[in-house]
Amino acid sequence: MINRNVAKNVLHTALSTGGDFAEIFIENRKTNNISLINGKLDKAVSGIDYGIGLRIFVGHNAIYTYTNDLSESNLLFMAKNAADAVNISKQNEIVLDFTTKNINNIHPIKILPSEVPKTDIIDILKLANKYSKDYSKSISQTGGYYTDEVQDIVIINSKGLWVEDRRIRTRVEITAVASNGTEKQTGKHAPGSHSGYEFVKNLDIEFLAKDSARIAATMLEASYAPSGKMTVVIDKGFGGVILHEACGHSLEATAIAKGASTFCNMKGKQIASPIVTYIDDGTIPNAWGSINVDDEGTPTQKNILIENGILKTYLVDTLNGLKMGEPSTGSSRRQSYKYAPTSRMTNTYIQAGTDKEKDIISNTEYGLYAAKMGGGSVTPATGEYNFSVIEGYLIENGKITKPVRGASLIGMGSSTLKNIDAVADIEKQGQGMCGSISGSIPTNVGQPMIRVKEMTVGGQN
Amino acid sequence: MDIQTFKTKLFEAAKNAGFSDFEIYYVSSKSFSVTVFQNNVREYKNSSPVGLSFRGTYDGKVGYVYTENISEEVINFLIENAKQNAIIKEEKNEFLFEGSKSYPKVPDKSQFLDKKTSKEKIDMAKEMEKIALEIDKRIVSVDASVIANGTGLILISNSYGLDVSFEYGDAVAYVITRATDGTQTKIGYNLWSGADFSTFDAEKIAKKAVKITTDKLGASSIKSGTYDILIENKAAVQFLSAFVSNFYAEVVQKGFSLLKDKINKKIASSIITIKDNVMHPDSLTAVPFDSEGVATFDKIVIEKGILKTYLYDIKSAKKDNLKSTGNGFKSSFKSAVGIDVNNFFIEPSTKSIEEIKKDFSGILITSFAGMHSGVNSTSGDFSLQAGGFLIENGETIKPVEQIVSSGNFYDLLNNIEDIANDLYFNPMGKSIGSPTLLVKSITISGE
Repeated sequence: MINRNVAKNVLHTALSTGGDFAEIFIENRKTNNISLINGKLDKAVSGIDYGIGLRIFVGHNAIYTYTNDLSESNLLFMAKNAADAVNISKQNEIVLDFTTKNINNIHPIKILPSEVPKTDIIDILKLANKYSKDYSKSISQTGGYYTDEVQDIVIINSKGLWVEDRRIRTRVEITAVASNGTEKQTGKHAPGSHSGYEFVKNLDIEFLAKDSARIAATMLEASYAPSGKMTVVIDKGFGGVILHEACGHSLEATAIAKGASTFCNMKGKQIASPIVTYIDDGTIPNAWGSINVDDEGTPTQKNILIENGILKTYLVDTLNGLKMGEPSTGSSRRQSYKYAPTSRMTNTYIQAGTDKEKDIISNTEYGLYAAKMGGGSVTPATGEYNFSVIEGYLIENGKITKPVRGASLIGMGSSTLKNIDAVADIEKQGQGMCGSISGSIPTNVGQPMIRVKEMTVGGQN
Repeated sequence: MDIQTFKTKLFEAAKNAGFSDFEIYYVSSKSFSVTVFQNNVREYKNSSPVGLSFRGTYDGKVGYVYTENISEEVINFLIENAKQNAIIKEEKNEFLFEGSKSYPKVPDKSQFLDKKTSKEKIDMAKEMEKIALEIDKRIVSVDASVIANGTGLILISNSYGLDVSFEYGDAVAYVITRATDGTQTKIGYNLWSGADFSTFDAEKIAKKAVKITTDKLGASSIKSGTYDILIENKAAVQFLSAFVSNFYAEVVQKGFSLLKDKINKKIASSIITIKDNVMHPDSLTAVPFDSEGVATFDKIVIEKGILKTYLYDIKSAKKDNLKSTGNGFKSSFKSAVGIDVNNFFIEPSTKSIEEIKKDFSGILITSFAGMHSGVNSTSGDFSLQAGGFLIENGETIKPVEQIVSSGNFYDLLNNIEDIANDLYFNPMGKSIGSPTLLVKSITISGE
């Protein structure tokens, strides 16, 4: 996407006023979005995201600029403007000799999205509509969404790095709405993968559609969740959003380097219950949050964040790493060339423990069983977090009893981590989009079934 | 490649490919921002992105594509994909528009917006940080002090002869402050925006951020129960934004809104009037046309509790045999046309907040968190982390944290008992406005 000499000139110009390091990120991303409402095509949009971002480090600080015009004259103009902002006048001697780093692709792709007729995709989504509608008379609306993207990137920097990679992702979302005239409830599944169309072909659409309908229909019959502090059992899979909010964001160098996290200066210390081991692993083949290299060109790796309750490492990007005196953990990510990258999560999960799921339930006298979770958010500086329960049930005398709906769970990360008193032995992951200062990126959250001794449940009873 | 040349080539290719009519929607913007941290420029950003979307009618159906690469090499991709995206449609229900007879006059972009140099803007950010750190010892850090400004151009041009454009621009400043009292850490921010920097006041912005943050120190949870709540204007805007899509005709027609069949029926307390206007003195948003080229105009959505209209684009209006209300907006140039607000706001009363607070006992909610997950916009159910103050007989007792407020949007609309005069518009994103609202009997989960 860029000629070597042009890249060289841009980096030289960028560093001409004394910057320490310069980096180019080029992206060409082709996307398709298709949505069906009630089994009928609603919207279909295809497109090209295309641009270049240039970053200059000046000490611990950064200058960032981006454009869509990749002509040499425009790039040099942009680099000159950015360099002018450096505002110090030492001359750097840099010799640029790019070594192309060959990427070890750990996410094999079988079917390119561009080779798939759009009618095939529509047929699958129509089938989902039929399964959902047939599931129950109470299903009044359905939605079916498909997205794919092929993102080609080139990362070049003044240390001589030249990395090219292709990331292909596909995702399907199935929603069902159940209605009784005055009320509406929704259920959904949204599986995604760092794969080609083969991922969509192999999905169990019947299960996804029927289960979305089941959740909606069940929640329509549900009463409101109870309110106040109680024991909460959170199921495996997307339930991992709890630690993503309660702890993951607060371990990102973005917050740590500023001193704006409750987990600053806690390395080697017990921050969670000893049964908790928390891992961020971008190398899981074809997982939604996986990458080959991060958005600075550093190979992704498996990072053990918390081991047996003890804080082991933070998620670090190069710039914040300079400030913290730590090397990158391959965690620097961004939504697109429009964002400077920073430390983010990839696939983050609690490792399987030793408890049995059925024992966790039967040992709980009273509490909330959170079967399906929605999203959440956190303020890392204070550790206050929240997330929502989409499908919930009461646990009474060791048994799952009636369905309950409409509850957010809140807490403080530091105390929740210590209050985890059971971790089951089967781990699963779910897919989400995670929003932060470098934009919205695909991430997996995961865990086995866990129990938190006490949390605040925001119900209405 | 310049946009006019690109357009000519693209339209020519569209015509040759069998499109009967076609349109481009083009956005070109410039933005600048500087973030100061510990008296250093932590981040300095400059950008000039462009984007173009094309839609064309093929066999009576409209197909969409977009690109950020404005060069000849992508034309084939665009035309081929637009054609495919049109062919797979089942309904001939979308129409390009030839233009309105006239458009409302909106204020021009401020000619002073670009007058500040980068150096001056850096100094402004440094000043806000310095003041915030000086005025209160409990402020341990200013996590970000930011000055930003942006300008943009939107242009729509089609084969019916529609050719409209307008320029916009704004200036923004904000400070995020962190305070501690030894046992508790709290974070808070204050955001200012203007048509240009002429009314920028570093001291005022910093002082307010510091007050918002330090007022939260010493917060604790409260007993679970039912409380009357005062939703402060900023929090009320967050709340209204989460449910505004229920007023979109498209959402109603698809069966996702409980406002279906509610036109001319009472859906809110009789003290509630909601308008969607082209301009408002308290809002910086003012656009003369929507993303389909339809002229914007003022309308009443709820009048004294009675629902008067949904918000329409051309497609949804045709379905109800009505005219577009000038609300056919794309959420970004990449999206298909959907529905959005102009300046959507709850009309304020003449009562001051002090007057309402005087006899109030309950919780003043100043912010909600988890808006993207704690609401079910279809059912209206909400369960939201909230923060604010416990008030008894008008006296502030203590700051409150770690609580969840729960209820239903439609019930809440009917339970609004009083409205203040302090209308506030969201300065970023959708232009939605609300004064402070008094609501009876809301479930609060705490201790």
